[in-house]
Amino acid sequence: MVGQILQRPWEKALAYLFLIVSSLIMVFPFIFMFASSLKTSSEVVRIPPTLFPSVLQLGNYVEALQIVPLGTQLVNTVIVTALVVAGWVMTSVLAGYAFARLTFPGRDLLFGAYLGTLMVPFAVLIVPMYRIMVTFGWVDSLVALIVPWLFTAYGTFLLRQFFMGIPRDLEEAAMIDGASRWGVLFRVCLPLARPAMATLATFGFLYAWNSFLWPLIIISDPSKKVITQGLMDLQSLYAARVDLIMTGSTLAVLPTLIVFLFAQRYFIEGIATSGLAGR
Amino acid sequence: MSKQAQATVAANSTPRRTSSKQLRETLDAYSMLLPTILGVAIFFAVPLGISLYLSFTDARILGDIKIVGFANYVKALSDEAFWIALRNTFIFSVFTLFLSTVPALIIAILLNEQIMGRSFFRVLFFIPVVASVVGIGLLWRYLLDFDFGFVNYGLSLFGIEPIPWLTSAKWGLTSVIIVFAWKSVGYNMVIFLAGLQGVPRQLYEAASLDGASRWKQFLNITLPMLSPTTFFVLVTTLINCLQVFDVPISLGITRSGTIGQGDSMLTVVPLLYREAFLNTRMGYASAIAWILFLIIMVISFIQFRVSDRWVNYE
Repeated sequence: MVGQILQRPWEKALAYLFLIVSSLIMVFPFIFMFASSLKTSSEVVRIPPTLFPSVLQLGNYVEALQIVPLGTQLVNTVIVTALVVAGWVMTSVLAGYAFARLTFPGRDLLFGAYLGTLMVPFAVLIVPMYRIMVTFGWVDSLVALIVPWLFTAYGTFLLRQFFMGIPRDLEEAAMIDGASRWGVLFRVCLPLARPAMATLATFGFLYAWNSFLWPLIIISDPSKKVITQGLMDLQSLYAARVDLIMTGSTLAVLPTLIVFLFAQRYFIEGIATSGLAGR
Repeated sequence: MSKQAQATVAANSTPRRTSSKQLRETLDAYSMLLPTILGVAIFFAVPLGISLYLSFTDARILGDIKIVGFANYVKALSDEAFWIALRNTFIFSVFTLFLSTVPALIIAILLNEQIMGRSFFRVLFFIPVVASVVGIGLLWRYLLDFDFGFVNYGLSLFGIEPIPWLTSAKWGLTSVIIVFAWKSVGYNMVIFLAGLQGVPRQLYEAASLDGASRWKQFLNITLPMLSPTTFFVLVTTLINCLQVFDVPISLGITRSGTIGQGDSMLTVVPLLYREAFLNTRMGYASAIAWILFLIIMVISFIQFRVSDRWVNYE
């Protein structure tokens, strides 16, 4: 419900002041980052700092895409992200439906064990995962950034909860008409599950696009790297070119902001759902 | 219902059909779970076992592996870098826990009021959450720069001397705390907001009838009803803090491999990364990983025990 703590006008005014100042602290750095990406290398280090670029340096973007090479790395990131998101949604739909609707021996044990994997810090897995990738010959290959990451306990949980909420009558009606379990899943449940799939896809996108530790370990060929690695290379190779570093950061951050603005409902719903799991 | 359908229902209820139907359902279930089971086995269960094994060996990148018993664990306890990392991780976690939850709760309470532009504010607070940590790390590396950073410029307007945020051992960890808290406030805010909206309206109505003041209602209804949410936020934030990697690396990694000036930003996972992949001591790094895992398990256990006492579940 909506609270009613603030009743007097001055209380409301104070609340607005607090919200405006604190939200500026959240947003201003991004505005400054974008503005700096359009400045010259000497303007970005000028004191006092300028807010608007005196001369627009759109060329920064052309240059940043070519060095490192950030352009290739952006393409790699798009490929990896798209496939990881598709994998997340596909495996979670199948597993989530099986856990929600089918009875089979070992179901509760498997589900409990799968959720238990969430307790294990990724740090425990990186060394053996690296060695497994060496054995598979996947080091320095995009495959290593995709195949191990097609599964998600969080997503399976999310889809399971969703499928459990669909009235059984709908499925039973379809099965009486002769549909198989797979038919019911794909023709009856899947169309209804679009919002849950969208939530999962937005999380998968964030996760894959922003991943850093794993690529850092497994990829060293510049033409196979992803954008987060490219940014770190930009920082170490062109430390003096703050304008280019801000251009690279903008290129890494902007896609997530755009996706977020279009899909914010799903982001916020997904987080609220995971938070309510604590209740 | 058609005649044929009725016949199917009747047939389904006989025992023989039921057991073959159950077999069919089990087969369907396991085919649906096959990709997940394979994935979890190959990329989770097997590595988990290997990791435990490696922690008792002298494994490097390649070459023969010799079992060394608890030597890696003993070594960690006498390794100065490990203690620095543990101490930094602890200080970082305590301050971040406070800085990323208290403002989040305040903002959530304000946004739960009848405020114009609520969803607009909510979006603004959420932007740092979705942005790439590395992008944010480099952005703050610029903002916190000693000579030309915006933060020191802002401080100079108030007559404050420039602060060596990233270039001194004294301020390094503070910078990591600020950036991490700044990034996670919006996330916690959304969870608090969902929790606040779940508080039943009748409780407030009853309290109003009894003449309880707004402040009393907040203390005696809102906060207790919010305790499961608060607990969840604290646990997840703490566990995330213990595993922090991207922020200290992107803010502080230097050419010589130190994380921050004199390892002032070194936390456990960056140390593990450095030992395993820069110093190629994989056995030792695995032992560090398991110590971290153990700490996380102990903390979750303690917190869940404590929660029985002070968390008010409906």
